[in-house]
Amino acid sequence: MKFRTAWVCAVALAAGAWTTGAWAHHSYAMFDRGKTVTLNGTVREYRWTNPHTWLQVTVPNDAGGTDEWSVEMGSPFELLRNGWTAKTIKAGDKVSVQIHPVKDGTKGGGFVSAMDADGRQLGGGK
Amino acid sequence: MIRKVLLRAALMALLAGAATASFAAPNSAKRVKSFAKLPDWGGYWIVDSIHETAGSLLDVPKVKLFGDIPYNPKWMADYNKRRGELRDKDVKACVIDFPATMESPQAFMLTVLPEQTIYIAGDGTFRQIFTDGRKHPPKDELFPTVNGHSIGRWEGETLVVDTIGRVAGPVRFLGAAAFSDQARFSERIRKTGKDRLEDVMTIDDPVALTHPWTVTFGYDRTTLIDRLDPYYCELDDRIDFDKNGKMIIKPPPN
Repeated sequence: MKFRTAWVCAVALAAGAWTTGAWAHHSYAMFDRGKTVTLNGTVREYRWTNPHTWLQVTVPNDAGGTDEWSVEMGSPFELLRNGWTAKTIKAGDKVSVQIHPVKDGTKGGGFVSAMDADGRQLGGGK
Repeated sequence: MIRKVLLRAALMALLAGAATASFAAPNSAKRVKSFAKLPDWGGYWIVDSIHETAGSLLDVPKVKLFGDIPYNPKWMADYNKRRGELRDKDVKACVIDFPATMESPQAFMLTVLPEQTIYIAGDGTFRQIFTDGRKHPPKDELFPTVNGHSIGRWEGETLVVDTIGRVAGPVRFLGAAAFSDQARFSERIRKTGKDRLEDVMTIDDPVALTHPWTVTFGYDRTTLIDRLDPYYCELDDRIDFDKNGKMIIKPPPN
């Protein structure tokens, strides 16, 4: 229930946010803001860089292999404000990541929220 | 011959004296004393209106420069058009200029000297606020820049700043407010707590605004970082365009 609540809050925040634009250096038209996809996979890399932090997640696919997804997050300073650090996650961690996917089917998306293997929300507040 | 040597020696002594004078000034008793009057603005600062996000690409409803900007109808229409483009089109900008930089998600540092206060943000944006008593350049020498020209004076530990000469047009940092080249920015920057800084900014733009607009930015001094990590947007940003102008995600560097 706790996780569900957190998820609903995250989606609500996302939905409200997308309607009013963004504080960013690029637009988000490439992402499908009306759609949320959950990636259950393993972190290949968590790149704590400007202008955006990127999360590379390896996710099992229907063909029995894996796909690598690129998830764009905020800048390190935005993330710091929200309880994230460069060590919040590391390669090999199991994660569940919610994203708004790229419209054209590219394996990537804009970050919404993430949970660790124990269902704890990552980051999540100042 | 002796006369030439003496002349040369006199000239050298003169030049040496001039050089000594210019290099001695930074350590003069007067300058050292003036340092003691300056406030402690050291460390790294992060604006507080960013923390309402989920740490994602999501919007920041509480960002002041997205606020209720008192645009006249013409500028409001343009503002809404640009915001629509941000939502619907593939657009990107790498430069964060003034005043948007004062509310950017990037941390910044301030170096306070008697002659000027230097602002450096993690994205590379910088401002020079001259406190050496100079005036703004005359109009024919005031070549507008993305940050404008800033002069300031100290009222106690409050830095009072006046900025003009900012280029017209949209702020390049997407979604934030745009102003005309007639805009004048008045700021009062001061500490409001041990690790709190405040910038009260009043924007007077008779071309774009119906009346002067005051916004207050708050900053926290952070110990979460010990350096600014610069980046070069064109190289380090994985959001790019293909040959048709469509926005894409570039592959990871490794």
